[in-house]
Amino acid sequence: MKCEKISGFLSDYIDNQLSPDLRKEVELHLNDCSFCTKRLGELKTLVGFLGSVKPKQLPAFYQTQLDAKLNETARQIKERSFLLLKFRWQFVFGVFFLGIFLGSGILYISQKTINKSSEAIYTIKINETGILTFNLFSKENVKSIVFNVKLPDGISLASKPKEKSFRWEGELVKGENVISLYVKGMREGTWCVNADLQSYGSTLKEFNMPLIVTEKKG
Amino acid sequence: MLQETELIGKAKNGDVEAFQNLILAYQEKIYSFAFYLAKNQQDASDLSQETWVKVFKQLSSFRLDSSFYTWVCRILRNLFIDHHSRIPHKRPEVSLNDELDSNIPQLGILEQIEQQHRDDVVADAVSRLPDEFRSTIVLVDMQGLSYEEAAKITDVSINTVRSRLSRGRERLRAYFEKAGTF
Repeated sequence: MKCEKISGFLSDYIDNQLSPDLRKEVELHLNDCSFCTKRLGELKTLVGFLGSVKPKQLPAFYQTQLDAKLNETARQIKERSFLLLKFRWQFVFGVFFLGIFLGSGILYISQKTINKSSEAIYTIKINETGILTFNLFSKENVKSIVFNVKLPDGISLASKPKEKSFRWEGELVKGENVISLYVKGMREGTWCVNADLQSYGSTLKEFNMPLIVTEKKG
Repeated sequence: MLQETELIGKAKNGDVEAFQNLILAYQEKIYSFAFYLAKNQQDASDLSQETWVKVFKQLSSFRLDSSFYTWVCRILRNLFIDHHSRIPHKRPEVSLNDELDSNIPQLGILEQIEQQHRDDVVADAVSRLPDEFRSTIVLVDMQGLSYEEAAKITDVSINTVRSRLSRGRERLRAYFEKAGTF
């Protein structure tokens, strides 16, 4: 067998992918050919180098960005399943009547726009733990961020029930950032959680998040 | 740490911590694969993060008919083909072939080079390979996957994996030979 043909088998030879007969033929050639033996050595060295290359290091803020994206996805999934559960009968009737409309050849398309509430209203029960999520979109990386949260009487931090405030210092990454806070319902009522985002003493954004605490039943 | 299948089962039932443990186990390898496909840090970050989001959304459809890592890699590669490969590369792709002999770093003997430098040089050479060779080299030679797994991820036959691996390795060998590495 000629060197040109043998060189096409060397990669398979290294990985033990040749049939016994072909392997033997390659080995016979290698015994007499210093050129192909050298080439085989080089390929083995190359494969060794490739296998020893360490995985690329994750860039700064990678984890924060990924957490933010996953939190946002989880929130969207939760909202969708909540709507589906809450309005499932309406949904079934809707599909039924839509079928009638379509069947009759009459289709009315409503042009009514849906007013989306800019802030979701969360509801938790007394002594139940919930997650408050603050989505912060930043156009660039921002250092020295202070995030202050003041909790009303009916809500407290899940980890420290006596504390009514929370302060976080850190950095914002370019793009979406999510700060999540575990809180506990303490007293029934409609409450408002106030928070602000500051940088070097000046307030960048204020949040007012309504939160309803309901009585625990059962 | 729990067994992978146990983690997957828990994650399917909405256990966020289990899903985070799955991410932790594979995120560096997934990011690396994304990096070699996308060829730059920003696109690799976007691509690998999009992959995890999609995995999170589609986890309930994962039937354990391949390894979890193979499944995630397949999602990543499909995302790359669907979206990222259409974005112009930030660095022009240069095909490694016999005509390319400029800009080859004269390395001398690789054994004498620091590991990091060597990693960078090898990784740089790999990133210059055409897509199909690059994916196969990264999966089989750099991440230690089997031919079967690489075939599943890249959606080709095992023979095609074998051929791409052979041709990709030969291009790299020729490149390093010209650089005086061997």
